[in-house]
Formats: sequence, C-alpha cells, structure tokens
Amino acid sequence: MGDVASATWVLPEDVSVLKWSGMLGATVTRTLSGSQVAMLDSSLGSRFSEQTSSQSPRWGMEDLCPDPLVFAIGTGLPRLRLLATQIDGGSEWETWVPIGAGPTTLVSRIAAIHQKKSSGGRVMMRTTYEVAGYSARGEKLGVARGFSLDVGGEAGVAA
Amino acid sequence: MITSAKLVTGSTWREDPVTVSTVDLVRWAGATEDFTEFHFDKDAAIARGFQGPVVNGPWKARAAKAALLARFGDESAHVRRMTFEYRKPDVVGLALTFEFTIASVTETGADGSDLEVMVRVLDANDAVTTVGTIDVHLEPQDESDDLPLDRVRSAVSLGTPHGPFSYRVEHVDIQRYQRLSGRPEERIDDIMPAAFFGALDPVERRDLELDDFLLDLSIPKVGGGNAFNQVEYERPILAGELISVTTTYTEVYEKKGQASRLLFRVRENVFTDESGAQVGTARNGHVLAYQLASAGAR
Repeated sequence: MGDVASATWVLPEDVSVLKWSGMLGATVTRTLSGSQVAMLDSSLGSRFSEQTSSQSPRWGMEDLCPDPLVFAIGTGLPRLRLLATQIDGGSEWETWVPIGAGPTTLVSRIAAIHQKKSSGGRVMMRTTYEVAGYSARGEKLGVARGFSLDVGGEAGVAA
Repeated sequence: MITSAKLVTGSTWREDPVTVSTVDLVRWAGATEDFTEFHFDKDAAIARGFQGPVVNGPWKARAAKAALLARFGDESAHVRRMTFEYRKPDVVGLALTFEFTIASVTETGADGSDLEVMVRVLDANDAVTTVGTIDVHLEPQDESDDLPLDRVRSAVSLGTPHGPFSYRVEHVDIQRYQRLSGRPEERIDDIMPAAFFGALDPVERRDLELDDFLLDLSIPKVGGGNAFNQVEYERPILAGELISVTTTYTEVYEKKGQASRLLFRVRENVFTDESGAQVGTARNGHVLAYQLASAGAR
C-alpha cells in the first residue's frame, strides 16, 4: 500500500455512491472526564514516562473521540463497502478550542467519498467519516475524522 | 528530553522499540468501546488473514502523541492537529519503533512556537506501517517566578477594542433574570435590572478568550475570580433589544499580598443599541492569585 500517497484523491467515477455523502449519524452528548482519559492512557502501559493528559484541563478531540471511524459507525452511519477489501485507512484530529469537563455534543456525518488509482491500476475508494464536537454554547471545538479505505476492483455498494 | 535549543528543523530520533500486548488492546477496546474481535482475539485475527491480533491504528496515533509529549517534558505542549495514515497492519507481540522528525519550527513571539512533527511507525523488519503528522504548540519556557505581565498585555492587546459582540435580549431572559435574582413575582416587568449589564460580558460568556495561557503557567495558582464590576448606564435594556458590546482591556498589573501575588486584568465594555446609541458602560476587574515566589513549591 506504499502507493496510496502517490496519487490524488478525486470524486468517484461511480457518482451513485455520492448519495451517501452528507448523511448524518445520531447526535451524541458526552462529558469527558479525567478517568476516561486515564483509561485510554492505561492502554499505553508505562511505556511513556509523562502521560499527563488525564490531569489536564485541556483535552483534545483525540481524547473525546479516540477512534473517529468506530465512533461514527456507532452513531448509525453505514460502513460503506465499496470494493473488495476494506481497511481502516487513517485518522485525523483537529482541536481548535481545548475541551474541558463540560458536556460536548458530537455530530457525525459522511463528509466525503473519494477515489484514486494506484500506479498499478488498482482502484481505491476513501470514505471520510467526520465527527464535529460542539460545546454546550454551540461553539465548534474541533473535528475528528476516520478514513475507511476500500481497495480492489469490484464495484457495488452495500451498507 | 528535548530542550528549546534542540528544536531544529530536520532533527530526528527514534524511541526505544515497544511491544504491544493483547492486554493493551483489551484496555483500548474498553476505553473506546470498540470490541472488534480481531484486535484482541487471535483466532478471529487469523480467520481474517492476519498473523495475530492487529494493533488499532488510533492506538498507534495515541502512543505517538504520548511519546512525543514525553520528550517535551515539563514544557507546556498542546497538540492541535494529528493526522495518521495506517498503511500496514501491526500485530501484537512484535516490536514497533516510533520515529520522529521535526519538519518545521515556527516561532510565534511571546506565545511560544509551533512545531510540525512527522511520525513514522516501523515494524520489526524496519518497514513503515504508519505515517503521520503531529502539530504541536509549545508554550514559552518561563524559568522565572515573575508573573508575565508584558505577555498578558500583549495577549489582550491593551487599549485596543475587541468586538463588537452582539446579544439579543429577549423577554424571557429578563423574566428569568429577575426571578433568579429574587425579585417578587408581582414586581417582574420588561425592564432588565442594571446588574444584567455584567451578564453581557463577552469575556464572562467566553466569546472573547485572549489570555488562556495563564491556565498553564508553571507558577501555582491559588485562587481567582471577579475583583470588581462597575456599571454606568444611560437607560435600562429593554426586551427585544439587540445589544452590541465592545471590550477593551485597559490595565494589567500585579499586587503583592501577604499570602499570594495578585494579577489584575481590567477591561471596559461599551454597550450600544441597534441605532448605535450608547446604552451603558461597565468596568470589570478580574484577579488571579498565584503562590508567592518565596513559597518555593514549584
């Protein structure tokens, strides 16, 4: 899969799959706590000597939504199966406003569907699941994105 | 540990290899509520064509972040953006190596510096399985016990108006405020009490946040709150009005007390109505109390 980064993502040839783009999942409200962040960090063991995130009042979207793809699917969005093989292609987190201890509303959607071909002619499709976090005052705190990657040549959509 | 002097574009280093266990991934599953079996069940993983349970991609991203922040030690570091691409699966029981390269360092004056750090995760065969980028903001290292008055003055743009911030005051707001402030039911009317001007403060409403870095000072904070509020109004606020507020910080100063050092930030709000006419002004002082330098408990 080393050629994944060598081509440009474009709109899919099969535009019918774009009907999924923009689909919203169920809205979820979460109140992040130090113990929840500590649970995430506990999975890292004691490998890294200074894990201070559980004590910080400045959590990020990666603390609130540690696995954006799993979270988005959990809100009812379909995991689109666009080609033969499917993998978790990547994750992204952006934090614009530090996340505190108050309630945060998370809104998931299928933000984009793109396609590209590798140098070997293999077709890949990338579905972007985006989770936006809002404070109780409606302020957008950041976003997390999970990328579902389909690889192969077989067409067809099955949720 | 990385010091500021070593934050040079192109610097690269590798952490000691780590080996992920099934126990780690079970903990991750519990914390993220992702119970996809091939991440912790060997049979399920083999049935999917893997050699063993597969390390979750976001686990690797979190581990990379933790390893990077550990490198920065006491320096106050905040991750603003992380993006990771999972190229090949890693399985439990095999060594992973995290490699970091500083792609860019941008000094942001008194605010510190912004770093773009490239990440690679390599398997036991030195093959790259994951690539990523972490954008980190580093607060300036302040070795002194002095309160950063000049930095606060710069952050709040002393003397420069901010805004306007607009707030619609509805009938229900006036009623609720009067009830909450204890006004008897028979005296509730459509005129907002003067004290409500304090509620239309962009700073208190967190619409204007300029000096958040004070939360991260290494000097222990021992208290804080509103020091004073003064309101002068031309007329009361009426139901249905759209009030615009402009905020200007006018003073930043320090007072030394017996038990603490007090950092005052004073701001003035000017309230205008939809015609542009001034409705009132307010002067608010906020104080943060910091441990005395002589306490020596840093």
